[in-house]
Amino acid sequence: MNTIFSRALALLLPALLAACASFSAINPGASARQVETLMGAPANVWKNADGSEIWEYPRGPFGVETYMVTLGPDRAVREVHQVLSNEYISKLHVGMSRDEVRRLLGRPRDIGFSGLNDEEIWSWRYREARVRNMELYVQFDRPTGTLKSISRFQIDTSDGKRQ
Amino acid sequence: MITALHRAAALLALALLAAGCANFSAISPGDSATTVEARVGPPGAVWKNADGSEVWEYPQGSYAVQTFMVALDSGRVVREVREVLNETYFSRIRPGMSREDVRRLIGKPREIWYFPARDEETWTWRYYDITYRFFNVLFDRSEGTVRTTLRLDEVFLPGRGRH
Repeated sequence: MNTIFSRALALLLPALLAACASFSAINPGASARQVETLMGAPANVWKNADGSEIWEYPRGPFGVETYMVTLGPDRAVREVHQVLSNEYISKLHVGMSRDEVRRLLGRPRDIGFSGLNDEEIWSWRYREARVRNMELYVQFDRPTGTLKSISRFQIDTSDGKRQ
Repeated sequence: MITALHRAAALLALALLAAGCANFSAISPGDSATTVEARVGPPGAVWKNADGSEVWEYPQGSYAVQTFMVALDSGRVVREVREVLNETYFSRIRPGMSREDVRRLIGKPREIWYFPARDEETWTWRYYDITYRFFNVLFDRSEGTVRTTLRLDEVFLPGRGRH
């Protein structure tokens, strides 16, 4: 019995550790391999012209954080950023392409369509000041594929009973 | 000259305002259907009940924050006039209710969005409760039944208004 338990624990432990892997453990200078060992494979890799790369780690679908790890051409970590924050959201602007938005904020939590099907909405959930639950909507015009509007909301978690 | 123009502009603005907000306070229980139509125009939708009574729905436009429901009895006499975009009515929305139940209760939404990955349909109304807010009803799209409701407060990024 005890053996089974410890065997199960031995199997589960790496998974548990991976789940709570912390991006604060990754410092500039760390190797690409160290990043993969600690965080697993990225959801997406963006290759830049200068040979540098950006690895995307959304902590979704219910996660409220997305990390972008920038690696230099030498495949050493340059920077790590949590991008679901006002600092990055304020870089959004009208006219951006889907690809530019994806590079800035990573994979959206969800993608929706308007009734007339000519608009596409990308949504993210994030936390502001660690406590406020926020929802971000980025609306694209489908025919042109460009950003049309940005709206940010605070979710009323009291179900209308706030006062 | 300037004064005359100002006066004309002010009068025009007043006239537009008066036309924009049809005066539902002028309708009282006991009024006839004809009186209702004469005062506030034809309804946006009519809901007929089995007992011969009717509910006339008056949404005030997609930027408005009010929707009026005029309940008429089987004799086509006004029984009640209610403004439905508030917590009194929102709190009656329960998981499992149909699209029609919701529509009869709070009227036509300003927007409908589809989220294929979650098989979800989101209906949105704008309303006023201390601040301008959005009330959302999230439906299971295939079942056509309410999953949950969500209240959002729009928050503008510092230094930026609506986009």
